[in-house]
Amino acid sequence: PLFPTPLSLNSPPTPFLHPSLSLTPFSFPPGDKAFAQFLTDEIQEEKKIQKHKSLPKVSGGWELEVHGTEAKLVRKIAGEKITVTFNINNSIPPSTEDDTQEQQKPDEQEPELTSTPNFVVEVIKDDTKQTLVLDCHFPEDEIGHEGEEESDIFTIREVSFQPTGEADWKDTNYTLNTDSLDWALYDHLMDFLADRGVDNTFADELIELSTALEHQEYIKFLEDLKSFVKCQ
Amino acid sequence: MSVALRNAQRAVPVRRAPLRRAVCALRSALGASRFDVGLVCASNALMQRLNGVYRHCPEPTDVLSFPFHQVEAGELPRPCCRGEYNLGDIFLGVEYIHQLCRETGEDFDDVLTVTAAHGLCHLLGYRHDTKPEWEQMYQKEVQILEQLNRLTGSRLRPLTAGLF
Repeated sequence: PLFPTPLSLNSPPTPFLHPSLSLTPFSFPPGDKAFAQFLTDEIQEEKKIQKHKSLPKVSGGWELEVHGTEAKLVRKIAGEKITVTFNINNSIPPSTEDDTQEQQKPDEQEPELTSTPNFVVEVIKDDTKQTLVLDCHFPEDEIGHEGEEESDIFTIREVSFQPTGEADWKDTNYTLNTDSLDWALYDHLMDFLADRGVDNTFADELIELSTALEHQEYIKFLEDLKSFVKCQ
Repeated sequence: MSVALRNAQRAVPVRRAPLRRAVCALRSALGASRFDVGLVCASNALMQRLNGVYRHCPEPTDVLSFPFHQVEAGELPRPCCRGEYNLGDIFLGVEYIHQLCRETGEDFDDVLTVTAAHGLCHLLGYRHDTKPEWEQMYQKEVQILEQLNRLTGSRLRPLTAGLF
């Protein structure tokens, strides 16, 4: 025949492009599919090891409010309102993460990650316009290691007064740093907190709560990421 | 000079300020105010571990003392430099003491103070392995607790009363 067999006129010509450059709506980067599958598996595994399906309670009559990654525990006693606020972002000490990456053998279960967030205690007395604010930390080098046995469970780092009800922090208010504080005064501050329910037992329960919240948010993030990756 | 106090346990509420005040007063009564002291409020688990490691007796106990200097009973250390102004560390088995007090009905804070006094005496070379040693230690404990009693109005008596 004089003419070659014509191409089908109903199907558009297929452009010749390298697969990685193909950005038509009918295909997306091949890595995304593997990523989405990885996330499916990861979410499944994380849910299997999730210690608390719902957030654990803190004993002592504390009410919990959660806004995303920020949690607030509130308690009212004898003319005072005590709030303890913490954020689970960046609350897992780096040494714990390093240990996980470097030392884990293939068949070993991953060690538990513990969230030890800094937390801020605010004490508001009903008849004053000032809030006593105490910034507390968990010792970073010692949680999860043997040295923790001989240290305070948590420490007070800074203390200041802030105007009650105002959202903005006043830099011009004096802030007491406990690094070089008289130790007797420090002990009084710790006893002050303990009398309001912020003691070593509370600190332990806060770690439990923070770890559960962090894990919950991590799983939610993985789910959101999976939906995003799969989204066309 | 300073009393480094740590509350490393969760089992028992411990009031830090009064304990520090008592230990400072007892240290002064021993004539050792210019020396640092470490004080750790410990759980049964920690006391058991330390007791096992250092005394080959892996059981919880009420007090363990780790002197910085080896001195004869009744002598104060003779430090060569600033870093040696240290009596050592006392581990108070607060969980053990609390359990004991629940059984005996004694006041926890009082027994804690008396135990700290006992620990301080150990840091200064006092022992109670023999009767003469015990008598010497007992008299010292009576002396320093009486000074504390005058300050605070308490009526504390030595831990080792009736040991021999």
